[in-house]
Amino acid sequence: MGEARLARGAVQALPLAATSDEALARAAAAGHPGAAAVVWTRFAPLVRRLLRRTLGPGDEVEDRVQDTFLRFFRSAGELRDPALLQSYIVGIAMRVAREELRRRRLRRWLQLTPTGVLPEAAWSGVDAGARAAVARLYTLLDGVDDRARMLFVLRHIEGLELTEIAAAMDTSLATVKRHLARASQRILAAAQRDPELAAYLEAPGGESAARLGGGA
Amino acid sequence: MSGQGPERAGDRWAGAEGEVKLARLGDLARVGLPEVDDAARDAAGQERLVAAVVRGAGREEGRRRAITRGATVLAAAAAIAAAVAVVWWPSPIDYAVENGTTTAEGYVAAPAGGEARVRFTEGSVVVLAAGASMRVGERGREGARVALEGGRASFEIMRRTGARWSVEVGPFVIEVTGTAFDVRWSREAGELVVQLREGAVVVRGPVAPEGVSMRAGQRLVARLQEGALEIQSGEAARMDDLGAGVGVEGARAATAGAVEGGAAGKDANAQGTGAEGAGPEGTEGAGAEANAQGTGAEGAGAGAGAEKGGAEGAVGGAAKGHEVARSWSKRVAEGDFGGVLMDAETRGIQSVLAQGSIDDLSALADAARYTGRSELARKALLAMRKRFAASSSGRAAAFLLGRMADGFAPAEAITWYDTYLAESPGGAFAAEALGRKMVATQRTGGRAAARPIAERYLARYPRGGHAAAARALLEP
Repeated sequence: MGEARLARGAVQALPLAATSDEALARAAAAGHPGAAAVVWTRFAPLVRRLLRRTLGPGDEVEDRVQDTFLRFFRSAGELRDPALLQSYIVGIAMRVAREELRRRRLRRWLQLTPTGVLPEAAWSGVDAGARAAVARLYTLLDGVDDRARMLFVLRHIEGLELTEIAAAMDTSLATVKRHLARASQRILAAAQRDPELAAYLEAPGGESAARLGGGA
Repeated sequence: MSGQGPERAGDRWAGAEGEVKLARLGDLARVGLPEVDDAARDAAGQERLVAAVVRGAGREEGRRRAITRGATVLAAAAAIAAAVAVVWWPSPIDYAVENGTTTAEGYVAAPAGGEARVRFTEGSVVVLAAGASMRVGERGREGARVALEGGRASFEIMRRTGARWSVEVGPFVIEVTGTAFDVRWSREAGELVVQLREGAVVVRGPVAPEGVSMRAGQRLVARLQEGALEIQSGEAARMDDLGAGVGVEGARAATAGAVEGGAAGKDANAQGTGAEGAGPEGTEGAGAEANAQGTGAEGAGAGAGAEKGGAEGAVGGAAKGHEVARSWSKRVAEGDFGGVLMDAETRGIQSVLAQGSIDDLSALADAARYTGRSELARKALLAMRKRFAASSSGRAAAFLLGRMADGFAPAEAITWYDTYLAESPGGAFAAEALGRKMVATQRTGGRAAARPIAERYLARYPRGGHAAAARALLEP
């Protein structure tokens, strides 16, 4: 048996809880016993949201969130620039999402479920029209490649800067620009052809805004 | 994260109108999939992560994934099969420990003053009594391997399709699908007690290598030093519980008498007296377990004297006269070991050994082993080897002979294991035989001698019951 460590109840609070991502990254890499709780508190909402919006409605993401952070703690020592902790975690989340998308395609291919999405909890707080439109949007995203889908989510839904996207996807800024342009064009064209989505695109302040609770 | 920044570099192809429309699509997704603020779920997730990181789960995952990646490359030709495996091979179940100490290797210990609770992500729970400890071994999608190192533990295993759990207790393995049961293991006394509350389990071990099935309400007691194994019906167990409340010492003496007297049908007084004299005052809880140990299937009256217990055991065996027509193997399966032995003695042991059917010999060997009559068991197994060497039971006898020799004559045990492995390389006991050969070789020849066997074992049974021991042997 190796070195005994205390169970959860004895895990210490990280004294750097309010400090920089850089310090937190170093603490995580060093195996600081309080790092997991602080990393979770700081980044779990972001990771959960990213995974949810990348995978779309109907997918339970909690296991994927756990997977993201477990991978992070496994590889925290490999983070070259601790100041880029957030981008690093977002990058891991994107890889986790991509793997899930692949699994989903396989399920779809094997016809285990019509969409590849496993049944999940009902939506809450969203009206039926918006629900249908979101479902249409993600059906549309199911038809594009994973990279295009993630670029669209990171840029147009999450609003990340191109440099942040480049860091998260571990690619160059020029590549991101090039692929994002292609992805955006393709997705927008498909949305314009879709009657349900077209209503949201063409009616500023009208139907779509009303459905969305006043518009964005 | 900047939100929707004013500069949309990279989106210039779309023009202002395109950017607006893309922004509307983004709005739609944000409103349709809002941030979920669920404090309870978040706290549970944090708890789960912290427990996993403390345990080193991330590192385990890393090794597993690295292996998976390599295997995927090699298995490119079998892409479809691999794809199916990816779909159906989600992350293994995880667990968190409450009120206990744990290590990265999966060791969990309850404090001296209270219980520890191990919660698994698929819903199963193990409660370790004060001072008890266990080890969580390999985990998969269907379940986990858990080893109770000592003390008492209560298991509530979720019923799920395909659930596969095993609880290793000393040299025993309890195979579980979905059930609730309590286990107590005393390494010092070499005593295992399993009380099955719901469902069904199979217990395998030195006195039951082919496995003994238990049904809800039954209690199994195995004592290594005596080579004895008893299964009580739910009613008998309850009677013993009542008896324990009335007179622990008397009940213990009665049941101890029943083991020998009931099984063999003779020397009831001597056996009972011996047990009475030998038994120290039990500690709390030990009395009930002692009851379970010795009680014959027909349950000598709990709380009665040794003499009575032995006598009743004998009578119980005789009372089964009307069941003689039933096969011995069926009676052994039902726990009527004493009755089978009595029948064999009535027919004449030598006659059975020389002329009995393969099934009768096998049943006689089992009944003898379960009641600690090792020499008779050995004779029956050797007769099987001599008369029915080509049959599957005859080949399995080699393994059982190895098991019987394992404790006191490891070299002989190794010879029998080798015999079994040569005759039945894909047999039901092949993994167990190879694993036990590895352990016996370590005992007789040291780690260096056992390492090649450990490598062979891991290559063939990477998730086998002896995999952890094999890995430990291969560590520098």
